[in-house]
Amino acid sequence: KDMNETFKEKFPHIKLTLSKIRSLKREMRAVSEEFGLQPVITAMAFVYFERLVLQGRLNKQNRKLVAAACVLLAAKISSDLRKPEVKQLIDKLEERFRINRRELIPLEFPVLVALEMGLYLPESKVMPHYRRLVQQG
Amino acid sequence: MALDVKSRSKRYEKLDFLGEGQFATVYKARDKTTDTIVAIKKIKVGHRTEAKDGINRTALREIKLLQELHHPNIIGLLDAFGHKSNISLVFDFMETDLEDLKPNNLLLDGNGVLKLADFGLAKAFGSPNRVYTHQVVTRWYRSPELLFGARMYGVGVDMWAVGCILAELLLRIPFLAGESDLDQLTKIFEALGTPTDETWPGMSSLPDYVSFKIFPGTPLEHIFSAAGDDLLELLRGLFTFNPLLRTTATQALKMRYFSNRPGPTPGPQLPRPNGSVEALREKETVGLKRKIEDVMMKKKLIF
Repeated sequence: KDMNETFKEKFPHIKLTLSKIRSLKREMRAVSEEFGLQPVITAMAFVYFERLVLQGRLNKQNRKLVAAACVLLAAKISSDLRKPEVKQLIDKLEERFRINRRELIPLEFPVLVALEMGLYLPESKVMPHYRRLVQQG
Repeated sequence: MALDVKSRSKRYEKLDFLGEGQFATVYKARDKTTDTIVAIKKIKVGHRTEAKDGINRTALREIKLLQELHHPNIIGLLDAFGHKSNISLVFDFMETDLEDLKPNNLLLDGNGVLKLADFGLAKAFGSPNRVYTHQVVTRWYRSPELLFGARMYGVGVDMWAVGCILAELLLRIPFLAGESDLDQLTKIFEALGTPTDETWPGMSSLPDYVSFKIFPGTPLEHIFSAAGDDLLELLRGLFTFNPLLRTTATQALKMRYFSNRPGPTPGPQLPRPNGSVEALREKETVGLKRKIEDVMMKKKLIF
């Protein structure tokens, strides 16, 4: 059976296909690497993103914005970005996801609230993503 | 999972305004669900320029670190919620008033337990090759290496701050109250003597190093005339210029000052700002003395 169909049966509340989720994560990774973010930050962004996916919050309209917001939040929390660098990262996110900051920035806060402000992630949640990121080279 | 923000903020009933800082306003409030008194720190929305880049990074980092840290001497984050574009953090309410190690960020709870607050600038410890900003720690508590612009620094900066706090407790006024970074260094060297490249190797290669007049320094026993030898020994260790030789927390705790008499007052017996403990203290003094004597006796028997 097709993996997307299996996924849909297992998670009927998720409106995205597994292929789409994976492709969004590829974009998140690409933009992080392009900007020079450490793999651990990408891994954190993945955890945030998957939490929101599992909550069934993503749809066709917001999926790119949410993916970008997760990268932005993870980067702000865990790296030493200075103000101009945050701006550059937002530029990159706009470019990569073909979105507009006027839509991205207002979504950052609802994303944070949807994560119940749960920004701190235990190592056990981050490590599986981190390992995969590093192994895939 | 859906979070009803409105009901979340309704859970707390604002009682009193406690204070206002550069980035936040603090209120005393009652948690209606648990009927306890809490402190709510409402983080201000950034200026227009900041808001353009979204949520303030310092606020995000503080939330994350407080969620990560669970320690009896670190203020407990009970809840965090967003309302409109504000972030509110709910903390245990502390008896004393509410980003770094300075007396204003050291709080006492109702049981006299010390709690550290304000982690806005705290960072995950020990990340490799991490270059830190040197504009941390309120100037009076800032170590000489930070003032000389060091970007790679360690726990030594906190131990220097601890020394300044300890000195302030003895003097009851800030020990080294510089009015600018250069004035801060002058005050440090006047009091402790100007370091040389021998006493502090590498000093002159720090990014913002400037050479200073050679001050001989004042002997610590003259500055802290009421302090005993054990306490002076501790202060000397904390005010060591070479950050690599400066006393660490582990070393400090092994020093005589912490085992010599008198032992520390148990938290609940510490005087508090509202003074209500005084009466309680009177009552318990006799019993307490006996207890302390008992402890001392036991100690003597063991050692």
